[in-house]
Amino acid sequence: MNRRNFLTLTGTFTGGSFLLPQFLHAFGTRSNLALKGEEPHSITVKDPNRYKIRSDKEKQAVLSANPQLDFVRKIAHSVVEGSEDIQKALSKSTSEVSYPKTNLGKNLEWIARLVKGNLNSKVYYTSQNGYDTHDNQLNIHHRNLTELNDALAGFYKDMKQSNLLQNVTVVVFSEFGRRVKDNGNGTDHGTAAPMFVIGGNTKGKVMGTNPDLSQLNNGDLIHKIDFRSVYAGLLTDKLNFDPQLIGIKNAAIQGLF
Amino acid sequence: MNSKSLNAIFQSSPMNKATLWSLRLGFSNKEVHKIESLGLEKFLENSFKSKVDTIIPAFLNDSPKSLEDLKKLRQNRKTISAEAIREMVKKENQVSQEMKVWWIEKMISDDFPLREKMTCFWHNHFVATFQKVKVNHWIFQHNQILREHAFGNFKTLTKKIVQSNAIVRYLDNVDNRRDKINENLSRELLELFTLGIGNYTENDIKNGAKGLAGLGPGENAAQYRKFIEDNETITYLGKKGTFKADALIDIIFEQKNAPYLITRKILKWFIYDNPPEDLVLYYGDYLREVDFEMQPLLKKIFIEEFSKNTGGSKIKDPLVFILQLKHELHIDTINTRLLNTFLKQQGMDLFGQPNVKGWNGGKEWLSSQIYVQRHNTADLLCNGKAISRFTFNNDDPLLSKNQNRVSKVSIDFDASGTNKTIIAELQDRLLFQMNEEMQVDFETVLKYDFNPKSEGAENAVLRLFNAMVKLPEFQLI
Repeated sequence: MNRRNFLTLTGTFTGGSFLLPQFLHAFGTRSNLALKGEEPHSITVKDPNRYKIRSDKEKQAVLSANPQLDFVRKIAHSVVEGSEDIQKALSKSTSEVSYPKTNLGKNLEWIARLVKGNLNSKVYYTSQNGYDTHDNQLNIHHRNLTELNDALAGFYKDMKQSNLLQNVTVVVFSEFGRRVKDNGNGTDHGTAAPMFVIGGNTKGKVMGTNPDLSQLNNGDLIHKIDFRSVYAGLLTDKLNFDPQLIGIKNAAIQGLF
Repeated sequence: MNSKSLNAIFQSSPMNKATLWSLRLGFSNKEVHKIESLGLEKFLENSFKSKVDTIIPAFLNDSPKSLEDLKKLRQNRKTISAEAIREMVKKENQVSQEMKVWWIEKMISDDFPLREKMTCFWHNHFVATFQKVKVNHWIFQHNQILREHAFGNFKTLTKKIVQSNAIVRYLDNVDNRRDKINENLSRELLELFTLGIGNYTENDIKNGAKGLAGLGPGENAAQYRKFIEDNETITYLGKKGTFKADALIDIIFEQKNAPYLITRKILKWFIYDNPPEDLVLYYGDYLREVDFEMQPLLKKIFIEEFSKNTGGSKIKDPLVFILQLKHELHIDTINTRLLNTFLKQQGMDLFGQPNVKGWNGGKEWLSSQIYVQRHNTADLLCNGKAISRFTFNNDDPLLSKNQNRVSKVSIDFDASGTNKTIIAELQDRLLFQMNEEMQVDFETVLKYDFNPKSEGAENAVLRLFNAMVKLPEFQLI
């Protein structure tokens, strides 16, 4: 399986806000640099009035009975709104830190510029692929973790220099883990993996204990902390939002911030 | 949602039915006349009978082919310089680009493109990317198996594919040996190819991997290697014995839930982003009845669904989006390399799915960025410009040559009509539905005093066309 399995979630959290993210900006594998195109967003520039009228109406209009059409209309609307806001934010910020020329590095650089330009987005999301190492694990891991490390280091420096690190919490996590015993040249699917929380006035310490390699469940690690309790902690402490409202029943992890 | 309530939604669909189904069963409105003149049933029969091109394309001539070639290559790599290795890799990357061009040209030019549409469906079901497989001949063989069996038997195709060189490499079965089991292929055979999550256990995966151990690349198809295969007695989906690939697949297809995953995907690929579960069961049961033969299933689905109003139930994939524009605007000389780049940026890179699950389609085809790019591309094409100015990652030198190239575009319309008949004519081809508000907007582009015979009339119609293809309604079929 070659599934996407390493995700970085970086969020700006303004203290005391009760609002949920107004926009969630995702920088994924398909982020085809539309933000810096040579002719960016001509749709909003060329024909803004026509488009605006339509989207304003749609804002109030009841949804049609066709969910697919509603979805496309929502995107059309967010293009108009979002692209104006993004341009505004970009015009207010520059890159002063040099980032590695990798996909993740570039994505984090864009996110940093939007954070610095004060775009009204509470959550940014990007991902790094290629951790499904059934084969050639040592080389692939080395390459991927180097990319992750260098990109995160650039972002960290950038936020620190801009005096924003206390407002930005970076969460690095993977969607699944690997089997403990290798299969020769790689590892098969497993459970449990580490998770990193950086910035945002975290206490900066290791939470939980190392996994017990002698006590496994069917060859897989037994997790010590449920990731949902970390989400609950982030929602409670950083977004002032009750995790129960979105079905997270786990108690928030204590002592993270 | 069940199929009844879904039908109620699309009753206002005014798009010409033959156009809608030309877009769904092919890649553009090229087949409209055939569907209208032959009728859908005959059109389908002709599509099923279409010949498979078995010629090995010339661009593969110098690519390593036999196991002997590949062995030599591996040995060579130890002695030649890093520079020479880079050259070799670059050359094979170029060949892979050629293969994409070759395929797109087939999709564009085939008289009955349903076979290529089905090949592309299987291509996204049995994923094997060039990036991982790295042997162009294997990728080509894999693609040809899909083409030959496009309308064939699902069980037979699964057997062929699981024992193809491309798949055993892509899903790491090359590393699956008796003493070091690798579960990847075994897992995907159950999870993604056939039964789907919830219909097997982790032990079935582990045992299936034993049955597949030792299955590695062969001359034309994968083969078992005696020294590393595992002949242990296993229990697989409740059956006990020593099972190899074919036997494992036979057992899988005896399972009650074998037909539903593929039926759901077929309904998704051709008609509904969210197929109603009652239809999945209904057609799935039929697929089991006809012993997993795809041809009767497809015929039944297309004919029965054609009689319903289902327009607007599916978000267009980038391939249909761009080929429809190309065909409407009569752009004969589109640069297929640029087209590849466009598809890649739109998230539909041929032979290059992001992961083994393939393109998810539906809502995942569109994000705000992708939407903006579709708009910009429509603007450029309608103005007769090449799409190259929107290739942001311009690392292919052959692309930059075509910067700003202007090509002649034109649009079909009935010049004996009025502004209203031309609006209706275009809308019938482009938009699955329409409302009064849109009509008012269109009449500001083509006004009441519009003279279709005047000089510049075509430019005005092109402006109307351009406005229509930027509407959310154009993104749906």
